[in-house]
Parts: sequence; C-alpha cells; structure tokens
Amino acid sequence: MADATELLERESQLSELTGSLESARSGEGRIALVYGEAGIGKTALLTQFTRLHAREARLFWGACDPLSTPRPLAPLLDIAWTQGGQLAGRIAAGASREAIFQAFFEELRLPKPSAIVVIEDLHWADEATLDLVKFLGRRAQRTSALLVLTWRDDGMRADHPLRASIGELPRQVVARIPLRGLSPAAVESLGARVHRNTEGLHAATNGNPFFVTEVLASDAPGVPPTVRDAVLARAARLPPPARELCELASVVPSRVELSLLETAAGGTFAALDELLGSGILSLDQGAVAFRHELARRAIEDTLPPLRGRELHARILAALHVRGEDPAQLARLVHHAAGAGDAVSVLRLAPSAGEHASRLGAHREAEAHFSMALRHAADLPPQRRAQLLEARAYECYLTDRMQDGIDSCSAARALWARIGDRAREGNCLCWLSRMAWYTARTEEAHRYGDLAIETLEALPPGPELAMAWVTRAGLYASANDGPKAIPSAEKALRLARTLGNREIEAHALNMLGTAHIQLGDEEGWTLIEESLRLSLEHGLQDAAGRAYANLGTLAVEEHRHQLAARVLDEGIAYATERDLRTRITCMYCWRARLRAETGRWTEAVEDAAHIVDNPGCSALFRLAALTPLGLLRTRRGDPGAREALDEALALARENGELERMVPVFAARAELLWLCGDARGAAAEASAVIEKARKTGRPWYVADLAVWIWRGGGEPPPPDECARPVALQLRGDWRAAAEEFERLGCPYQAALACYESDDPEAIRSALEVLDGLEARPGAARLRRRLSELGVRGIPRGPRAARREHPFDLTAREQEVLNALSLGLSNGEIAARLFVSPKTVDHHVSAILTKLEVPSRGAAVAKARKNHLLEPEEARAK
Amino acid sequence: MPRYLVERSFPEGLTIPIDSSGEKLCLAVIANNGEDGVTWVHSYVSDDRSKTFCVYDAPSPEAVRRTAARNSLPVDRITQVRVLDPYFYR
Repeated sequence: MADATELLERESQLSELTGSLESARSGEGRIALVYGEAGIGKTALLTQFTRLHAREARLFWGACDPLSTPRPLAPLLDIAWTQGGQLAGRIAAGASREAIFQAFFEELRLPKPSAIVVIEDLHWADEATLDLVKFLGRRAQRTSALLVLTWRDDGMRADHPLRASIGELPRQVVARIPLRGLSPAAVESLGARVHRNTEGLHAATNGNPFFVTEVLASDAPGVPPTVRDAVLARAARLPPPARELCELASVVPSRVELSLLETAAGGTFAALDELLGSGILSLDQGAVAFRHELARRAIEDTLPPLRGRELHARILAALHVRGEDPAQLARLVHHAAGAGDAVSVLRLAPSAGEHASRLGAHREAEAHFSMALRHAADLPPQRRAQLLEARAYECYLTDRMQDGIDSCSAARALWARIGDRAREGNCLCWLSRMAWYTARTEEAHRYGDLAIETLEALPPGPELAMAWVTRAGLYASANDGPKAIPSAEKALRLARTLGNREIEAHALNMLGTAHIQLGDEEGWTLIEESLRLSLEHGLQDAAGRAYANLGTLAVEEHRHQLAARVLDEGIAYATERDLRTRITCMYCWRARLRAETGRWTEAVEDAAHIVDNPGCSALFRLAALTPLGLLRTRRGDPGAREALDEALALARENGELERMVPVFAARAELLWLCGDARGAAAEASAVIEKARKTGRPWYVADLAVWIWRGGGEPPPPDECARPVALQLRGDWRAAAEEFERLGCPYQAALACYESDDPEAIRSALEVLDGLEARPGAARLRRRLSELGVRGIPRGPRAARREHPFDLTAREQEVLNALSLGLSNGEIAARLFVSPKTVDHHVSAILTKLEVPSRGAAVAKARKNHLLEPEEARAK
Repeated sequence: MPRYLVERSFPEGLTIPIDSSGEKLCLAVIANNGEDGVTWVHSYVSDDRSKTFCVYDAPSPEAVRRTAARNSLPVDRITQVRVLDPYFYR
C-alpha cells in the first residue's frame, strides 16, 4: 500500500522475483509468496518490481479488501475492472465461478508476453478468492505467468484459512520471499536524507519502513511510541478542510474513487490538492488511497462515534447515486452498518448474502445474513424466521453446526408462534441433521421423530419427504439397514409423486447406503444414480452428500480405487462450491484411505487439516483424530494415545459403530505394538459383539485380528473380511497376498508376523522400514531374532528424506532400475530380493505415480527429476 | 507448546558449514519452521556427526515431520519430553 519512494535493502528479494519471472518466461510458471508484518513494504517492493518489468510483461493487479465482510472475489473484480475484455464480460453476465476462473486462466495462458499476477493482502481474502489462489496455484506450472501473493503474517491466527490454501500450493514452483525490517544503517541513511537525527529510531520501529518514514515525515520531536501516533501527529498538522476530507476518506476501506469522494465531500473536495500534498494520501488511477492501511485505520479509529456514522452515511448516499451493482453490495452493506442505518442494512444485506452464496462464498453469505439479523428487531416474525433459516443453511454448509442450531431453533420458535407447522417441521429436520454432526446422536433422533410427528399431521409435502430422508439417514448411520430402507422408500415415493428431484436424490442416496451396509451390491448403483441425478440438476448439497457417502462406504469396504477416485472428485466438486461441511467430511475419509494404503505423509496432511481447525464439528474431529492417532501409533510418534483417548470420548458420545470400530481397532493396535497383547484383545473385544450384529465383515475383521493376536476368543473366520479370515485360519501367506492385492502394504507386512519363514519376515521388514513404521518393524526384528536369525538389518538403510511422490527408499531404487530398462528378474538379482517382491514394488510405484505402465512411470520420473541424485532433488 | 526431542541419522556425517552459506541455510530452516509454528531450540551432535538430537517446540509431531521434509532432514524418532531438574517435583 505504501508508495515506492525509494527501496532500500530489497535487492535480493527483487532478484529472486526476477529469477522467478525468468522461469515463468521460459514456460515454467512460478508462484512467489511475499509476506511480512504491516508496513514492511510488500506493496513498495512489488510496485518497484512491476515497474522494472512493465515493458516485457502483462500486469494484473488486484487486492483483497478490508470490508467487515469482504466482497467475493474482490481482487479478480479489480483486475476485470482494469482489464475489461472477456473476463469482465463473464463476470457482468453472472457466469459461474468455474467459468470466471477458467476465463482468467485462459487469459494467463496466452504465451507472450508473460503475465505477472499480483494478488495482495490475502489475509483479508474471502473464500472464493482463496479458491482462486488454489485454482491458479495448481495450474501455474503450465503457464508462462508469475503469480505473486502477498499477506501480512503478524497476528495471523494458526487456523487462518490462508495457511491451508498456501500449504496446498505445489511446492516445486513456489518461492518464499519473507520481508524483514531495515537495518540500522538503512534507517540512518533515510534520516540523513531529511537531515534528521535517527537516534533510537531503529529500536523503536524495528526497522519497519512505513513506521520509519511516518516518523521522519512528522516534525514532532522524538520518536512517537507507535506507528499510529506517528500517523496522527502528521494528520494533526492538516488545515481543517483537508483534515475533514481526510476523515471522510478514512471510512472507505482500501481506496476511494475520486468521483465517489467528490459526491460525498461536497465543498471540502476542494481541499484535495492540499491533502495529496501532505503525502498522507496518494492518487492512483482515478482513486485516492492512504499510503498504508495502517494510516487509514489510525485516522478512522479516532473518529468520535457520531462523526463516524455521519461520514459513513455520506459515503452510502454517494454510492446510492451510482446505483446498486451486485458486485458492490458488500460495500453498501459495510457503509450502511457503519452509518447505523438499519433500514438500508435490512434492504441490502440479505441480497448481499444471496449474491455471495451464489458465488460460493458461503462464509461471507453467512456474515451478511447475520448482519441483517442484528438489525432485524423490528421485522415481522415471518421475515425474521426466513433470515434465520437462510443463515442456518449457510452455517450447515460451512460446518458451523452450533451456530446453525441456534439460528434454526430461533426460526422454529418463530414458526411455532406464527402457526406455520410445515416450516416448523422443516426446521426440526435441519435441527436433527445438525445435531448429528455435533455427535449428539440421541438429540438428532429426538428432533427427527418430532419432525415426522409434526409433518404427518399435515397433507404430505416436500417437508415430510425430507423428514423421512432424515430418519433414513439416522438409521443408516447406525448401520440399521432394515429400519433405514422403509423410510428411504417412503421418501423416494413421495419425492417422485411431488416431482422433487432434490429429495429424490437424497432418498436414493440413503437407500443405496442401507443396501450396501446389508452387503447388497445394488446399493452402489443407487448411490451412483443419486450422484448422477444431483449433478445433472445442479443440486449441490445432494451431490456433495452422494460423493461423501460413496467415498465413505468405498473406504469401509476396502474398494480403494473407487474410494480414491470418488473422494478426489468429490473434494474438487465441494471445494469449487465452498461446501465446507462436505470437504471436511471427505478429507477425514481420505485420511483414513491413505492411512490404509501406505500414503502416510498425505494422510497426515488430510487429517491435520481438520484436527488443527478448532471450529470443526465434533463428528469430523472424531473422524480425523482416529486416522491421526492410528498414524502416530504406526510411526511410533508421541501423542498417539492422547489422540485416541479424545477420539474414544467422542465416539462414545456418538455411539455409532462406523466411528467406534476404527477407534477401538486403533487402540488395540497401539496396545499390541507396545507389547500388551492381552490388553489389545480386551480393547477389541469391547465392541466385537455390536460389530457382529451389523453383519459387516470389515467391522468384524478389524477387531477380530487383535482379539486373535492377543490370544482371545475371536469370532468365527466366516464373519470376517477375507484377508483376516485367512489370518484366523493360520494362512498368513495368503492373508498377506490378499492385503497386498487390496493395496494395504502395512497390513500385508504385519501379516508376516505370524510367519516362521525368515525370508518373508525380512521382506516385510523392508516394507515397514520403508514406511517408517518403527514399532511394527521392531516387532518383526524381535520375531526374526526369536527364530534365531542373525544379521538382522538394524534399521532403515539410509536416513530417508520425504519423497515428493511418497516412494520408499526401496521403491526409488526399483524406479531407478526401471529407468535402465531392466526386467523384474534382473532387478530382483540386483537388489537381492525375489522377483515377486519386485513385482509388488512396481505396482506400488505405478499407484503412487498414478501411471498405467512402467514406461509411463519412467517418463513421469524423468519429468519430475526423480532420477537425479537425491541431493539435487531435495533442493 | 509441547517440546520434542528429534533423533536424526546422517550416515555420511552432517556437514556444518561455518561460513555465510551455513548462516543462510540456518535462516532458511528457521523460516521454514516458522510456517508451521515450529521452533528449533538447539541440537546435540554426536562426535562423529552421524547423529543429531534436536530439541524443538512444536504444536504436534506432524508439524515436526512436515518441517523436516521441507528442510530435507531425516527423522528417526520423535519423543515428547519435558525438563527434569532439581525443582521438577515442586
């Protein structure tokens, strides 16, 4: 935000940016991350950088705004506004987010000249903008563009959504450029230029360039204690009309268009030249802006409350003169609220909410509805109930269940007072669904029953159909297929009679889920049908739910390829539409999928996403803590027991086996790995009878294996999924092969624990060392020494570095050999293992690199520099 | 914030440059750690430089592993620890 008078001590950052631009120009797009505290000179650096390259590059510059609720896609709107063209056309035509992103991407892909895209102040970004960042980030490499992202990192909370978005950028194209304060020498040289003594200035300002220049620009004696004081000292010297204009400008976040300022200011606008002359504000492309947002806030914060309201009202009136552009709604709401103008807030905020929701900025939509509700005391109850429902729905989509429940309860009370039983029943359905996500299963059932009771007294309508869907969902979650099916069928019939596609899709989903749980293959077709219907009719919530249930069931049933495809697709779909609740749910299950299939680094990333977010629903916390605890268990990391204890407490509250079984199985594994075999058997036995009642072979198997290993009385093998049934019958080799076939390397290796074939155990040990599964590997080593084997390998052969595609050291060796065109037999001879082991490694490599053939694997390895010495690759 | 002892192996020996490149490396490590809220307190290095025992303050063991990957450092074992001193029982 500060203008670039002169740049000191930024040579290395400039050259890093220039280097990134060079790569971009050669067709390898880059992303530069420029961050530091407020006033550190991010804008100044980029202004200088873009000025240097203005001739050879196309420049796109946008900033996020500090409105109480940011405009969705504010930076892209800025860019479209300055660029015009196809992008502006699509936005004006109300195109979908996907179409807008795509249009911008096409613009960047034009080969020459290279594009520099600057997106500033991402700490204020709305959801949609963060998704734009992810969208461009994933594709950056395929362009000749340099994407520069800036944000303030001082005071950024640990759970700030920006952190996650930045974490998802492809590492190999990212350059991190943190900015730090100026050195004492630089501060001194700045002082010397204006003939000022700079004693104590560096210490007081920490070398923050904006603070330093503010102090130097104010004639006040000594160093003001804060940057705010420095700004105020400077503004205090303005003559009254300029001071008044300055105050008016200060209530408009980021920048204010000259025409707007003129309309709002009236006579005082004449003081503009004087104000610009003071250097507090500067003029840029038809708009004025404070030298820095810190300065604007300093002025705005000192306005007496009534004066602030009056200034907001003047800006609001001036904005109204220009008409109500939907893209400006957030701005209007901001000033209406600042002016304390309840009537305008109530007129504008709901439309702003609907607009944001359409653009997939559901958090912003929720904020607008909340803003309207804060001013809604005098609204008729019906209108207030509608606003409460709208807010509750946005809360439901963005995983803020408790807030959703509060709103929905208030709406329900209003409908009851009005006497609208159908709306009341509808609220009860939502209360049931949201209570379920907070792990309050009993409450969910109570609301669900109440909803049906209320709605069955009325003529059948969509509300009743949805109540049956809700009930079917609750029974399906409890693995009670026989009860779920009749409810789902009733819902389906009624939905079809009413011609309601959305409820039909939900009903098909519940019906399919129940059938799969009962082991009926037809269930998969039903959910696929639900998904197809939802996608065809643009039913976002129904589609998200279909993806999530299909993914969940595929993971549970160990259909790993299906699970991977559905979850990846589903996460992309839900991310595109900001369906936070679904994204979170699918991340949890993908974490579990990846934990099962040996992709542990990625699994932890998925789980940490959820666990690190303190605001997420209890049910998701539970669903993420379980794989996290399991992975800590398997890697021998600290905190495994703590994670699983917390998961157990949540699972007990939820009471559903879908969540109980994995927690108990993980706890049993932890005990077994710690050498407490009996404890493991006891832990798994605690829920085995309940698991057997569901008749689901994997539930039984996941527990049975620990009861068996711990010397307890396992259920009959016939009740267990195949690999565990084989284990229980004593055929460890077939069990290991079966696990291998399912793509579960860890379990395949652990199955060899029961073997007395040293060679098999040795191969298994290699797999566990590769996975860094320290406790499991230790158990296999002990087993080898019990068998009297000497010369047991002592540990992972070399300290393994994290591999970009998560290949183990051994798999990398096999990949290297593949690139030489060797056959499995030749590789086996070279690495002293059996050809069969090589075969396993090759299939693991193909899976991890996501390629169909050996040739494609080698090609992909070359492209990603996987065949170069590790040192070079590690960078 | 929990404290962790991270054991690392360097079969070829850890090289510790004592010129400006070492300083740059150190600063890069610190910046990488900062991303995940991880603080490197200090390390003990075995005489043959084949093992290090590094003390970290970090929000979770996963954060320790993530920064290790970003810094291209190996991880053998992570143990959560606390200080034991004569006033431990007070």
